[in-house]
Amino acid sequence: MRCTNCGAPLPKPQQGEEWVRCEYCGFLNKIVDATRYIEKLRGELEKWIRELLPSTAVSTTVADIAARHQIFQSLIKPKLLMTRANVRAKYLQYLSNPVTPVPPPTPPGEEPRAFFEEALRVQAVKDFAVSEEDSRFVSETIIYGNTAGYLLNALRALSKYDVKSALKNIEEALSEIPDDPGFTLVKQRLSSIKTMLASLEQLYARNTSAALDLAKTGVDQYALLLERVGSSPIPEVNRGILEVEKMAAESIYNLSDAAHKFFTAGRDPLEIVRWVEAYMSVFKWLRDTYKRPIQDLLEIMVNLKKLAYGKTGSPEVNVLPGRGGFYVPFYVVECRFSFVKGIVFRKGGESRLTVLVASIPPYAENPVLDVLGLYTGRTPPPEKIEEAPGYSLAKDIASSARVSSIPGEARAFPPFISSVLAEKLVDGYIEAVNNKYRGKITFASSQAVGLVYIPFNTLDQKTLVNEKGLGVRLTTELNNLLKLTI
Amino acid sequence: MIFFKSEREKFEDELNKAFSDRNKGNIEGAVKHFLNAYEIASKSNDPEINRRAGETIFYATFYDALLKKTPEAFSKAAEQCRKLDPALPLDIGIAAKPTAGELARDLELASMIFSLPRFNINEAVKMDESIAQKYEEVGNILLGEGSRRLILEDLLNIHDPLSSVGFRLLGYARIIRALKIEADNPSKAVELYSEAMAYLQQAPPEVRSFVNDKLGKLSKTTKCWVCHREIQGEEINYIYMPASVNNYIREKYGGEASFLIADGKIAVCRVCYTMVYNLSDALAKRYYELAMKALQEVEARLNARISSLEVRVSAIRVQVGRR
Repeated sequence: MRCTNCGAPLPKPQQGEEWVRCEYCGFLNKIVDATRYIEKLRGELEKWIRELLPSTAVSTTVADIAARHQIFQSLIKPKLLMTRANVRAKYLQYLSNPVTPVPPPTPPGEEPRAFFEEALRVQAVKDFAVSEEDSRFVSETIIYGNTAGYLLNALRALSKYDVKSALKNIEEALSEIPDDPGFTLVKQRLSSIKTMLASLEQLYARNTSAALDLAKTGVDQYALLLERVGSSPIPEVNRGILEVEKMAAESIYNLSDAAHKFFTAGRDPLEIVRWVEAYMSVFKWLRDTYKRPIQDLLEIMVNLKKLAYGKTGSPEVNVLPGRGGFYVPFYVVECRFSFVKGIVFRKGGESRLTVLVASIPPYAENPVLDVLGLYTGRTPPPEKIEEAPGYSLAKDIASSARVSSIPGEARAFPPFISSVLAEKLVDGYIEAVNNKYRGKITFASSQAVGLVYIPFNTLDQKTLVNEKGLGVRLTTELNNLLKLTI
Repeated sequence: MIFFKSEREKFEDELNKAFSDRNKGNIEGAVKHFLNAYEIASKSNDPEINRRAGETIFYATFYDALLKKTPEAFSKAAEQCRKLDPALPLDIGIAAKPTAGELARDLELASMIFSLPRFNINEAVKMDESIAQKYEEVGNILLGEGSRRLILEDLLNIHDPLSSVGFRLLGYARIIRALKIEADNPSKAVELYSEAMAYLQQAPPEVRSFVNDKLGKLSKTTKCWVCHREIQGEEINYIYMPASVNNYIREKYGGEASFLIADGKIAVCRVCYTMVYNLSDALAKRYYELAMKALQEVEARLNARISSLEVRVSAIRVQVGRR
């Protein structure tokens, strides 16, 4: 039987059961519908074969080899050439995109059913391909069709965080590809994807130690594969894709490490996993808004891991001493800018300042701390920025931070953005300041030098205040953001 | 009373002016003052000043390169930078103070990047294999630099990790090659576009959507409705033409090949399409010429008639005048 939703094979139903669930797409099939579907498929298949072959050939399965070869060459192959070209193109298209659980893919627009049906059709005429070349031609076409179908199912599942179904599809795709030198690299790639998904599956089952081991194996597999691929890639196992998938594997490794740390400290490791799930929509927004590369995710996962360590007693993060129920991470960004000074005798000058960036956009109203008084209207001239209201505060916070841990009972936001994006936000802030300076700033450069967790208390649902007088105005109520804290 | 500035003062003065001009955004002025400082330093007997000659000529070539943004200028700056003590910290106006050793490699890379023609997806079809090779060569070098970013990123406005830039260049090389062969060898073009897609994970969305669109269309293989030949590549080797397709036709023949009928239109190969187009064009031209010829004859007849009428009207006018 085949699934009426995706076209993949269905498991044998238990006796007396009326329903059977597809292991590949999760669809619950009524057995009667699945039977009807396979009968319809069979009817179509017979019709197709009748159109393809002379009636004498259809009824015989023991025709001599020469006759079968002749039939395949003159009647079947011309038709299959087209099918093969179509399914191979799709197979390449889907393999030229990364298959990663984090970030989750957008669900593909195509249905896997067409690919499974195509593969089934080709399977039906397999016996006619007697020469080695024809047999290879047919098997490859079936592999292309089935792999495209399983990949589509896996991508759909991953878009919904259904790791189990995705894993099942990748496993099946792998098992259907023979140990053929032409497919070795594809198999290794799928095998690396499988390991990455298996690690996540273990994580969901709270087996953090197994998850960590598998994640490490996954990263090693990608490193090895990248070495093997070298500079002469085949389209379906391309360095560009492998690098992205490797970054996802490394992200999962850090995520597993964080979850394992939580688990060993007696906390629920799924808290970390749920954070990642909740964060993915924020990450998508950041990527779309600021055109950020996927590399950012790896840095964010490394910071998540450090925070998990910091929250379980290990001094792994920089913390500003003080009390508060909520910890917000701030990037410390050193900024240097050049400007024109003087009215008659115009000279060039330069200033340096420390800027703090709340790394929780889009939920902080002005993520860049208003060091130069841009929003309060008290911006000093560029050569006297040390007179600016936030100048000393930012310097003071940056210098007071100490490597420490964060109290277990406090909630902390892991950083949502990378250090590069923090620098970009500072550049934007300086640009806004420059409008106030009427274009006197000629060049600015920023460099993130650290990350500091600052403790805050809630003034109200949208306002956080720190003992040193630093405030963060949120764009949404704090209660809505709790899922983005750990 | 005249005060003469010492050599050291003159040198410091030129340097200060150079940095001041740089900070003002007057890069030409900065280059001029750095060159002046170099002149003083290179001729100076003061070993401390003389020692700084290399540094000042580096700054002059560096800012000249930023001004010109040519591969030659960056190459020259890299050459000067390599002559310096690799541990020497340099003030190039950015937040961090890089050493000469770190900066030399960046300048070499900048020279390579600026030697490449700007990639514009709408112009890519005009680019040839030599450009694809250049993209490929520089792309591979940048890949070797890993995921680090350029120290000069703020000055050159290249903020992506070098490996991302490298992958993007490899993707561009594939696009140029695929565009050249897509009509003659669509299967190979599909492979090249697939590779390009894989390399272009961090590319601008318009480039990705171009490749995706090409892949979607090139990956379609169907049969020509007219000649029944297998044909690959929508809008390249076949197009869809409007026709009256009812349910009967769709059900009876739609299954003959994938993509044979789409949105009520039928797939027609390039040969059949151009044959029909040229024939209808020739027929239309022929009938147009016939119609024009007939019109010209009518026009000639009418003109002759008008002339004869005009002659008669003139004669009548003369007769009336005489009376």
